[in-house]
Amino acid sequence: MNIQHTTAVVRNDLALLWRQLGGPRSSSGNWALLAGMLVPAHAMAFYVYRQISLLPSSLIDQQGPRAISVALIVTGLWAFSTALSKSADALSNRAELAFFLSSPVSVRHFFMARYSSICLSAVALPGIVLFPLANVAAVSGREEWLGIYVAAAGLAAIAGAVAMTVASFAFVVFGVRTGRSVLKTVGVFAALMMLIPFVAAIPMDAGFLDMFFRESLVPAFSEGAVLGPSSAAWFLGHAVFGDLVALLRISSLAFLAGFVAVFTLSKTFYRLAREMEPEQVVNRRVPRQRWKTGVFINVVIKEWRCILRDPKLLGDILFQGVLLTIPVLVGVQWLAGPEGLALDYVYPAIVAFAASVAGSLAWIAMSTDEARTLMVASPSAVHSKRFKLSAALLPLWIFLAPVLLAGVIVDPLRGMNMTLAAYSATFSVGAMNIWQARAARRSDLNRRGSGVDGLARILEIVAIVAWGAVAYGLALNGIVALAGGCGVIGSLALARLFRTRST
Amino acid sequence: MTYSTMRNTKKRAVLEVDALEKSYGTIQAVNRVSFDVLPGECLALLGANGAGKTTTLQMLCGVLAPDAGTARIDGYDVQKESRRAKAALAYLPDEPLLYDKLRPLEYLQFVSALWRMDMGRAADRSERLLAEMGLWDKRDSYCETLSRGMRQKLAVCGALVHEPRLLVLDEPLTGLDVKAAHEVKEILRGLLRSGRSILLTTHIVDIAEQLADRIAVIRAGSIVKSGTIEHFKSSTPEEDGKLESAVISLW
Repeated sequence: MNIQHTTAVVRNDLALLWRQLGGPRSSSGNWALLAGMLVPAHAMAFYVYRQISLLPSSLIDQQGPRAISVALIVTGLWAFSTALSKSADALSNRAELAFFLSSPVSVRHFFMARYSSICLSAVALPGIVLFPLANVAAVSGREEWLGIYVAAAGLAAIAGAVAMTVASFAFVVFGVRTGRSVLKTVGVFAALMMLIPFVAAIPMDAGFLDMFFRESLVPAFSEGAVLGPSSAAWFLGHAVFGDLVALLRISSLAFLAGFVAVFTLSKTFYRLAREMEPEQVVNRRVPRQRWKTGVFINVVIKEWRCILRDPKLLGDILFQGVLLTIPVLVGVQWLAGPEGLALDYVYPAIVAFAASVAGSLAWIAMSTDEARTLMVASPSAVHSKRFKLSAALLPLWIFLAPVLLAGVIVDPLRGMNMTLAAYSATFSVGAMNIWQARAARRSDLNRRGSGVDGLARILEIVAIVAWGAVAYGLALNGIVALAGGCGVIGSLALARLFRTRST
Repeated sequence: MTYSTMRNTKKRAVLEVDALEKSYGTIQAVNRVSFDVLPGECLALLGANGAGKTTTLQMLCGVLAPDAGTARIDGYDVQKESRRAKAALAYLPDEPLLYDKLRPLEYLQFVSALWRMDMGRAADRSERLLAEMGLWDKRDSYCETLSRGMRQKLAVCGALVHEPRLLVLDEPLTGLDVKAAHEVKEILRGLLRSGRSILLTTHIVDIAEQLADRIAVIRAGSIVKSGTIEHFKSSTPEEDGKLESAVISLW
């Protein structure tokens, strides 16, 4: 087997990833960014490991495998969700497929290269959190923790193989267009499942949530059905705590999954790549709609037609919303402690989710207009930024209204706080996207934190999490609300200060 | 109508460009460019890649702000009275300005709204334009599924839907096959006959010769020579008397 083709394609993927990281012009900037991520990650890992070391060793032996199992299950779900999205892209990127299918690279090698790239992307983000912990533990004398590398990489390999199988199956059964929608939906659900370990640890108040979580889901986690010593997931924790047989099992399973995927799916992939037409809706007759008068309403219609007809984009928007809700939930868990109620979590989570969706929509409207010059060259140009932003956010505001109203009815004080925070959050991230607008492609939504867009994305994430803190703190903790407010104001000020001039 | 006849009728120019300048850092992209376009006239800006043609057009359309100089469309300053100036203008860049996820009629609806047309009239006109351009059968397809030629023709529909007095076209025939290029040229000739004015850029001399009444050659941001095709041919230093030779000598 000529493996050179595979390594050449993977090397090219990595080079492109590296250039996207800190912008195309700055290699030293990339290294600085990497150091900026790894040094704090190791410092945090050192702090966490030190806290763990202070616990009685019997408790570490008893609870350690469970905690690691939870972390690795979250890693696996994340890897599966990411791999699904990447597989859908790899199977439907016609420009890239045309390039490789017309080259001497064999289909199996190309498929193997794509599989490797997908596995690498799937493990990258959890790796930033888990691998420093393994390094610190190894330096501190617990070398067996290096098993985290094997376990996480193995899970990514399994997740990649399963995702590529599911993606191929979805494309064969549903076609490219619907298949992509199905894959995105499954990916969002996989990401949502990452919330379960967090939700399981939330003390519940009365009502339906209590019945569902306390009586069914939480016991499954806390009493061992899912993560107990007798469960199948337990061996993940053991693998990291020195059980070489468990480690071997994960590696073997990962190798087998990768081998089967590459050798059985590459032919299907080749057939799909040559036969698929991404134009499933061509010539499907649609009823003539009444033409609406007015620039604004037509901008709203145009923006939402373009968003709703792109299932991948829609899936990415929701996926990012779910992802950014997690740090808010973790923060609330930390602040609320064992006395926290479910509503303490629900309200900030809604605010963070709304702010994240607003950020994505605003970015799409402000930075990714495919025919930007058309609006600039039209007589309506003076209104274009305001129109486009409002057009993108208006349906979100309408959609939020009944949710927020229900919140006000359940708990008037916190509901009002949530309403205030949610709408203010959408306005503020919208404003940030006006100031930080740069020409981009819609397909780059998941990559907008990289390259020259990095600062804008970081500030937006800070603002979203800070709004979550404001929503929590307004009713429960004045200092948290103040800290959140400072975070919002600071990120807004920085976004305004470093605003771009190209839209 | 010949160029001299147009001049003699003393009509007011649809486009008047006076000493337009634009620089990017130390690079002078456009340097004191001046010209005008009369009603029913086609002026071709000819120049090599990077000569400053597209920058000039983008300043005329309000996409870029000039460092100095003025551009007036239908008597309105593009910078100071942009809304009125742009109402008479249609701009077609080299890459068609389309939205992949819109259908042709939806795209034309959006363009009509931007130019604040009466939507009843816009709907009728859009349907007629699609039929004339041979795109009626594709009215329910997304723009992303159209071929390069169809996309260009749809972009031309978008430019014509609001009945502009001046069309500014940047390399309008790039990437089109022979048939599509012929169709677009016929459409442009029809527009000129109906009294519309066209300013186009191209680096292909044949296209300029087939469509333009006048030519201006731009090099390193400055217009080095302008005049009618006959004027260029008669003043070429080459003996073959071809426009291509005359232009290349100035390139």
